[in-house]
Amino acid sequence: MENKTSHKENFLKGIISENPLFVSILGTCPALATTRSLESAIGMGILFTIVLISSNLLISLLRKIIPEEVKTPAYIVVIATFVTIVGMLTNAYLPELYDTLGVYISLIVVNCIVLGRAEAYASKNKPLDSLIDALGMGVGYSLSIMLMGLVREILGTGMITFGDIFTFIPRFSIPLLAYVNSAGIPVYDYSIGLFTQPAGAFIVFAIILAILAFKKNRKEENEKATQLLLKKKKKEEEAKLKEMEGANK
Amino acid sequence: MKKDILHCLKVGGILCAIGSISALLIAATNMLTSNAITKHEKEKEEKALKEVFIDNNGVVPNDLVIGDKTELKNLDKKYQKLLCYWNPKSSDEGENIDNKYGYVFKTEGSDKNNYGTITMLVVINNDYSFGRISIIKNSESYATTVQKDYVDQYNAGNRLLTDVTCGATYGATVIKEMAESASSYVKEVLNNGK
Repeated sequence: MENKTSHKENFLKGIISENPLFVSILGTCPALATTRSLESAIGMGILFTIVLISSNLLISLLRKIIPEEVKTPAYIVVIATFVTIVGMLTNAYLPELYDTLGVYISLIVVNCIVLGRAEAYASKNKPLDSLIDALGMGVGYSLSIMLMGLVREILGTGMITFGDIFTFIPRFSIPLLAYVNSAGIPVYDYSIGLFTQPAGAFIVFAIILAILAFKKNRKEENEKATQLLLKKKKKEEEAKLKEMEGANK
Repeated sequence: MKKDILHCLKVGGILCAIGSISALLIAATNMLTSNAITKHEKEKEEKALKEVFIDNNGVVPNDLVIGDKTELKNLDKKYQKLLCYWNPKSSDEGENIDNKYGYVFKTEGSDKNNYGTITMLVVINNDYSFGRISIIKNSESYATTVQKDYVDQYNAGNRLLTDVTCGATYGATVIKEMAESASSYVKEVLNNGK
């Protein structure tokens, strides 16, 4: 039972309390570059999670064999192997995704999250724990970049489009801030093109971080206020008790 | 001393083993995917070869026959970005028009300050002028300015090839130079300076 709880906590920490993008601020380069659309963010998230899980699992299995002096180069070889494999498989079976993500697939090798989790967690924990940790971190990162992709695509293009990258899905668009009729004539368009550009990525990232910081600060302030209230009540009760004792005497 | 040597040998052996296993995994994946990747690259090239001859109505000519490509090797420095070319013909029976469609060159290059390596097709007409350009691959996949603001504008007739100032000037300059190199090759080499 205890193991199940700790596995659950281990998984959830990567999504919420130790979210790699919004809490640890790691892996921001691909997060800003590959989130022009929700579809490309989903693709990046899936590939990243596969690399993270595979490399963490293998490094955890080899943790007692890899010598301390060469652990970093060994981890990089392992991570680069899985990135190469994932890149080849993507090029073969999802060529549109490969063309869209381009050099950012190869850049997963130097993503701080992958090497960081390998050194900080996988090299010191059992394979099952490392697997769950990698899954949590991967899902957390994927959800974060999907959120950024969703916001940027809605604000930048006015609609959400699927089927351009995952071509096995029939292409469809959900118009929100912009609508183009069947004749190809724009009916309305309130999108802001800046959000599909790098500057827009920084703006969206900053706004999300600001909202999270605001919520965190408010939570801390509420907790402080609650503690102060409790202390005050305790003092009042102690004062009352003293009064009663003094009256009895 | 002996212990140190043994320890170094052990570390080296473990690294070799990790490297070997990685190499085997990559080789196995390559065997599995190389056919699919080659097929995909060929399909992309064939699609681009047809699209680069789209006329003003947005239609690929029915009589277009692309034919075999001619690989270019050991070229002069000024032609080093040219990879190969095709000499499309017309399939119309009774019409013996060589070079109706000119030449189409595949070029690949990069230059100082350019964003990535650009692989493209460029049509060289019989009068050595430039036809449409199609970028097959830009290694910096997110550098879309050169596609949107230069190539698309040029293909639509809204911009001259020599007008490279577009927000991706270095990339546009590479494209212009590769097109000029292809035109020069047709004139100086294929047509012997005629």
